[in-house]
Amino acid sequence: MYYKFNGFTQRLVGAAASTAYNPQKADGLPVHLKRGVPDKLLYRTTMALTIGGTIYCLVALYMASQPRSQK
Amino acid sequence: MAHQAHSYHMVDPSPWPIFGAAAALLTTSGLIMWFHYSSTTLLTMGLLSMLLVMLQWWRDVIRESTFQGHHTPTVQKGLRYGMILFITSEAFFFLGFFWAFFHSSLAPTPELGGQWPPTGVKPLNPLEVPLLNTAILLASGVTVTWAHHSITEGNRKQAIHALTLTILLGFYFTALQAMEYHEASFSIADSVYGSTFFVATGFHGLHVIIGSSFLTVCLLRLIKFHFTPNHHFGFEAAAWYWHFVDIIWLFLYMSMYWWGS
Repeated sequence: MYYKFNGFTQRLVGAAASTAYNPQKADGLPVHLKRGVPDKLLYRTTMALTIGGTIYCLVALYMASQPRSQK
Repeated sequence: MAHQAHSYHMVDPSPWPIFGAAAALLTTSGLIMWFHYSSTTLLTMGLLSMLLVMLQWWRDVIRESTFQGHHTPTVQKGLRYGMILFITSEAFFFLGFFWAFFHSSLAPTPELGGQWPPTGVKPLNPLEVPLLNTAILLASGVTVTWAHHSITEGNRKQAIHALTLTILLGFYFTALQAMEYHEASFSIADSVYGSTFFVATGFHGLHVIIGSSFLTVCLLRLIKFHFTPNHHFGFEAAAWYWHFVDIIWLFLYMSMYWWGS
């Protein structure tokens, strides 16, 4: 957001919500990443949690299936 | 740019279905690790990822419908079918627990003392807090219908008031039920009486919490002008779910609380 002074009246540029995010813009982004950075962060967090968790789960289940190494 | 020659919504590729499946895997195996190995890491990861997937998936549905306009009448019809089928499946879920209750209570075994409630079990008085809870849920059914009418009539202030009242009644029910659970003289371990009572009312309570959350999201959307008088299916789905929760309670009250005491 900034002020444009080279006009007859001063105007505030980039303050309207529509300049920040337009859900219908044809930018090729899928809907789950449409807002840019916050979407990407959430997506990567979810992916890290699920994929990391799945690997941890498989390791835990493998260990649980061993007959003698139970605690 | 190519346009579709049909009124269905071909969604963008999305990671949420497979992440949701992974979250279910983590939650279920997390329960195993908790029950058998006293570790809650996996369960926590599962519940957290489940929450994240639900938030983002439903956020995307709101983006696709309210902000991108993809929900044509055809799409909405499909969503209506979907919600009806889901609620029907939940009805069958509860049917199982009612079956278990009647199986054990219609012909009480000698181990229970040949009677229902079993010997030594002091059931909750159906005319005290449970009756109040019945009144609360019935009233909340009225207020949610009031909210719906307000939305279709374009009356924003009344819609917000009615929906807020519905949610508050839902919280009141949950608080009272939690207090009842704490004060009950029997536990889930007290024979099949405790099992059937707490599993059935417990799952019902969970559904009240889910329904209250759904209604809360609808309230936030209502305040942010997402709904129009003619198009507000998210709210209708929440209202259907809430009525379902109310009806299940009525069956619970009549069978377990009243007949079973």
